[in-house]
Amino acid sequence: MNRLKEKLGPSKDYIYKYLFIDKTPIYLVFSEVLSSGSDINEIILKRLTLLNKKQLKDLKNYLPANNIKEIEEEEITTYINKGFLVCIVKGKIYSIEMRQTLERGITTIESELSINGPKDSFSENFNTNLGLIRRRIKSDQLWWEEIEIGKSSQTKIGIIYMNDIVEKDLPEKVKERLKKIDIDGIIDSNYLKEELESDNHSFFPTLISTERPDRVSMSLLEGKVAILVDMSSYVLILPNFFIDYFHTTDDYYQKSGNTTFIRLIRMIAFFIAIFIPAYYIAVTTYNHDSIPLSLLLLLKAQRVSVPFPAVVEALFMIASFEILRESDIRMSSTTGSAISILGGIILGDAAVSAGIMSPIMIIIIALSSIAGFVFTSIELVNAIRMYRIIFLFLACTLGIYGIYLGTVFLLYKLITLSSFGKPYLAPFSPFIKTEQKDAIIKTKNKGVKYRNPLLTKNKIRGEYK
Amino acid sequence: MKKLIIFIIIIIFIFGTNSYQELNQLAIITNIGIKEERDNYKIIYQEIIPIKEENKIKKTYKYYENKSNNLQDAFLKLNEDTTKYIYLDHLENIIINSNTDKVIKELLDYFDKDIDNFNIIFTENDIKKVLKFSNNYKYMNSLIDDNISFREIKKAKLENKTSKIPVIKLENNNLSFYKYIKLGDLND
Repeated sequence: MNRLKEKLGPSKDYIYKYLFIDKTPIYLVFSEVLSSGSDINEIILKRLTLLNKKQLKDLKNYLPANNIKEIEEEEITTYINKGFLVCIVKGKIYSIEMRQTLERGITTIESELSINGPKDSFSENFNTNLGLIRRRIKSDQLWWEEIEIGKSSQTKIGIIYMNDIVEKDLPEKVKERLKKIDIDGIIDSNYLKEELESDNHSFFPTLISTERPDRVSMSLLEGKVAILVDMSSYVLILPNFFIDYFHTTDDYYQKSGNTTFIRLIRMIAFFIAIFIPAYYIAVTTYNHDSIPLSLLLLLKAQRVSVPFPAVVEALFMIASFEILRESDIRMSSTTGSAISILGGIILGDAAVSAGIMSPIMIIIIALSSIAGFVFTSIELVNAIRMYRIIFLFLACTLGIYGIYLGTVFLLYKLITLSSFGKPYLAPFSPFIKTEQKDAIIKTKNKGVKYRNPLLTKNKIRGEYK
Repeated sequence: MKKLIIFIIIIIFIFGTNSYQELNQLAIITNIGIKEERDNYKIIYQEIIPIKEENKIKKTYKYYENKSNNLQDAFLKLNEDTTKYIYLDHLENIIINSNTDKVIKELLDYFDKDIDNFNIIFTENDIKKVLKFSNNYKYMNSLIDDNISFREIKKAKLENKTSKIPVIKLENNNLSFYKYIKLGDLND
């Protein structure tokens, strides 16, 4: 007991209790913060006082707790820090699970809202999250494996997959990659991204981290693997294709004609967000003859009083937009709304009437920034922002030819990217005909019978009659 | 290998190409007038300047004028008149006042093969009055049904055919279409 007190240090939340029941000394050690004291009182202590000497020798079979194990002396501190109650009787050490829940319960989603879908989100507790997934997929083929990573934090990580759908070696590859991580603490699931994306040489993401249980369930049924991390409300999904970032769960809850229209608009928004500032700069400085004369005269009239060249204007606008957006995220809601209005007014009207900017530049940069926010994944928004600036520089040195070179470079990056061994531009680049029915154009459910053949061999989903 | 790629990229960014022109430095020219009299060529440029005025764009015109005994020389002298870059890609018409075929032959030598999207119109009145007649730079195009572009004249010359060119006339403060002339008839 004294060795234990030395090891645990001066922290006052460890409670040491000494009982003497029927001429046998019993020691109880637990952490007040992690274990629930009321449970210990009612269940364990009441029952302990009723046992006699013979039963106390074989404590495992006589206590009403669902998780009792016999452990060694070195493991005592790890079990105390996980919320277990450690009971030392006559040379034998038992650990009993008496955990307290320290979380906020199941709340609504804040980041990926959906119009007419379920609105519950993951919370920070591992068991709650697993329960939310199991309630949606009640099959007995939903398996999960557990790993522990991190020397000081010892976080529990679960790899979830459907055994009859997923490819056989995929969960093992994921496990191997995760075991290579040698870090002292995993605080959130996004820490794992760097190791899981180690073969990713571009700005574009290959992981999705989501807060919605219905999205995770849909991906599991397609043959993907989900990774749950304790104390983190974001779940990672692997492996992903480029077209998965253009899909949301709302697409499957609405009519298919509507879905096709919205997906086309998302593709258009992607191209607008990357190309429009570069195209405007290229047309007004290098290739004046590619637009009709009346449009050229309009653009020329707007720029009469502006003292800067066009590139400097564009960079200034982009910088101020990004600063405004970043400050808007960090401010709390009481001061946040005033600052964004002020920033909008300053950047908009006052700059134009002072003569620093032309109004067309404000329209173009605002359109491009807003089109970039259409997507739910923040990594894709960041990638779009990088490529917008790259294209801007290429256009201001080489014109439309520079945009052409930039497109070739972008395509090269996308085509050679692979997420866990699968090609990134999957339904288009190795052209899979059965998957075209769900990639951009969505047909009615009768056509979506097959799963993606790159992810699984179990192709047929079910019969819609 | 990586350093070589970075070096090439930096070189491209610093130097770029030579055709960088800001919009304010362009002199967009819509019509040209050429008058030929016994060994003397006079050229007038009509430049369009848009000004923004309370939700509308008002177009004003500016004229440059110069003459020489050679067509090439006259164009060169006009380029030195302003500091702006003379931008000829959006040219609408060239109006010619002459009796012979020489002007078109010289024009064939002067323009490169990229700029041939304009029309050719003949007239017998004073070019400056014709150019200043209307505030709309497309007015002369609208008077003629069948415009002849420079590209067709080039094609016809290659195949040894003649082409017909419209003539407009300014009479009693009224600009109107007069007749067609065949190119071969002009060699007087």
